[in-house]
Amino acid sequence: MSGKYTNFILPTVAVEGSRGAGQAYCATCATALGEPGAHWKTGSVLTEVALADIPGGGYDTGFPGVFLRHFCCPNCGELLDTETSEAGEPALADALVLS
Amino acid sequence: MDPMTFSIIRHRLFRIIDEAVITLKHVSGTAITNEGHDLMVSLYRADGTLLMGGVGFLHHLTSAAEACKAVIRRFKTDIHEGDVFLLNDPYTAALHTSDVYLVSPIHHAGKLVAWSACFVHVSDIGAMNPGGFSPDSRDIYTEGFSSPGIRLVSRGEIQQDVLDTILNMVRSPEMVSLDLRSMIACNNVARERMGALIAKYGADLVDEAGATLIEQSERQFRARLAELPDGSWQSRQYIDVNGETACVRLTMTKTGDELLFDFSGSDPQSRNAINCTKWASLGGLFAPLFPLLCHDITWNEGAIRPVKMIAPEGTIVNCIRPAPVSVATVGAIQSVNNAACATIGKMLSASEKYRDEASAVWHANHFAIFMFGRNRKGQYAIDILTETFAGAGGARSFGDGVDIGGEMPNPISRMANVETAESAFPILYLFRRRAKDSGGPGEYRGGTGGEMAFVPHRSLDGGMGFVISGKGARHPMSDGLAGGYPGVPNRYIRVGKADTGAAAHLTARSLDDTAGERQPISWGMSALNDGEALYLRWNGGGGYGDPLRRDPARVQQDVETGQVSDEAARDIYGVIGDASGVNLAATEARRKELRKTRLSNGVRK
Repeated sequence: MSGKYTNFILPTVAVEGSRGAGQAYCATCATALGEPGAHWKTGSVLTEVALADIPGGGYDTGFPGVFLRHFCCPNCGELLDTETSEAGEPALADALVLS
Repeated sequence: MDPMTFSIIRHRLFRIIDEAVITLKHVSGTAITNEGHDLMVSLYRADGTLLMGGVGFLHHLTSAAEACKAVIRRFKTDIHEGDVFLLNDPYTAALHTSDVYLVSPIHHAGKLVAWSACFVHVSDIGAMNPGGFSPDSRDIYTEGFSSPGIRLVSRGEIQQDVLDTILNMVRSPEMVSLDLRSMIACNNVARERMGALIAKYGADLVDEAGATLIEQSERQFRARLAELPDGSWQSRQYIDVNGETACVRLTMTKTGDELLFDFSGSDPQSRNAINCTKWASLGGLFAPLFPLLCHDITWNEGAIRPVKMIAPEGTIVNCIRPAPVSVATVGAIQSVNNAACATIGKMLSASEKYRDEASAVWHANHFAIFMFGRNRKGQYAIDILTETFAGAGGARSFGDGVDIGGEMPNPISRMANVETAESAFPILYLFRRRAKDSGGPGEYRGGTGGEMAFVPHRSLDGGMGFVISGKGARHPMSDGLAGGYPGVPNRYIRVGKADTGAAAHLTARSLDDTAGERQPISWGMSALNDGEALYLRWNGGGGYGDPLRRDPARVQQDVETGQVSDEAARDIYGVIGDASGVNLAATEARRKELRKTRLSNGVRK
């Protein structure tokens, strides 16, 4: 992953800028993720996969309605973060407080 | 104070706890204590604040401090040398009624100078379901004997009337008596060793060392927090039992040298016994905090001070009496523990200095299965299946999680040998092993969980009863980190009798080998009759990093050792190989294809 950044929300998501106007980047390819000040997930590509459809079958509980969300970089396709979620649940919003 | 003396006293305090733990588990006769290590011993200062946290289930370190303080408030000046107090009321301090605290004052020259406290999960507490986890309870009144503080030993003499009253209310009085006596012995050892320490160094110097330890821990922990980035990280954990889904929601905010755990937005308290009280939530968040953020700092009051918690009243993480809490330790408390582990892991991973100390969530769905009924000798037997303590490690930024690697909140948890369970109950194990695809995929894979099955065997009553509880089997809970997948959900299946006869399952070496009707079962009291089988799979740890970054050779190795399926290797890890090894060109092409699919199938947010 890129060594050019010093501030990270997660190892996969870097951020630069100042309070209220931080710009998130993919730590792998430096693609900007969303607008400055907006949450980085708004600039990602989301794939929501039902547990039963995850390869291998281990996740299939026989019950619909639970998903694994994949948040990917829109440029390089790096998987930046995952979330287990029921339908309609807001995305988890991790954020740095920049000085 | 003299640093050498300080270090000697500090190490003596550690060793006192170690010796007390050894005493506790060797005197107790239950598998849950001496095999599973569902126990805890710690030392507290005269005012009840945590002086030295011990090993065992770390959820209890702060709750037992509250137990000491509750006894101080209740008994005031009526606390004497040689007393032992019992407390197990969850609305006072305990986590649930079957986790019984025994707290003992430690005196020197007639003055109260410290406390020792310990707990074990007694084999029964007289709740409406056997074994202390009571999924059928709808209020605290049906969860068995519950005391906000009672004197069990007075000036060194067991209060026989009190002990007999307790034992009269439980299903296995012999084993509960042994449990209680093991805790009395444990506290006696702690008191005697503390007495020897004070006799050698003096009460004032030992107390000064304790105060210095607490000040040192606070200073060190605040310094560590100050090095970590300011920000907020979120997590959610679902619980799905008995037809109801609940969610624990956490926002952890780190500002300067302080941490705030805010559980606002968590669901209202449940009619099911998965709720927990505020003391239990506090213990739940500290269980991963101590090992992740304070692994090199003494676990005491000083490490507690920089942390604040918001747990709205009336929610699943701070329920109001008489809400049922019997399943709390494998319910909301563990959800709090998992959510805290996830947010702390994210925060650590956001720091280049501390990234290697981050962890995906470990074994996150601790099931509880208590077997009960007559054993082969005709005696009533009741105890837990300890496999749930076997756990699985979360992946790190530099390595895979440990397979069957234990639990984050209990550094000494382990499972009993198959033969221990088979000698305690009329059952026969068909298999017990690592479970394929159970560890969360990632650049570094979550440690695998396990799977097992057993059948009744030479039972006098045509089978056994069992009580099962936990957080259900619909949701993955061992969250991945930095793009890692979660470990798979738990799975519990009761397999009915096969048409080919009662012995049909005996040759089964996997769930697929069994022929009877399969019934998912995750909550309540049930029977396992002759000819039936019970299959269990427990979750692996969360993965770390994008699975497409995993070394193809390691994926191939996982396939060859049965830890990852061919399908997962090809479609999650993007690795193409066969018995002769990895096809690197095909793997590169497959990974490129999967990345492209992510972008073409996904939605631009």
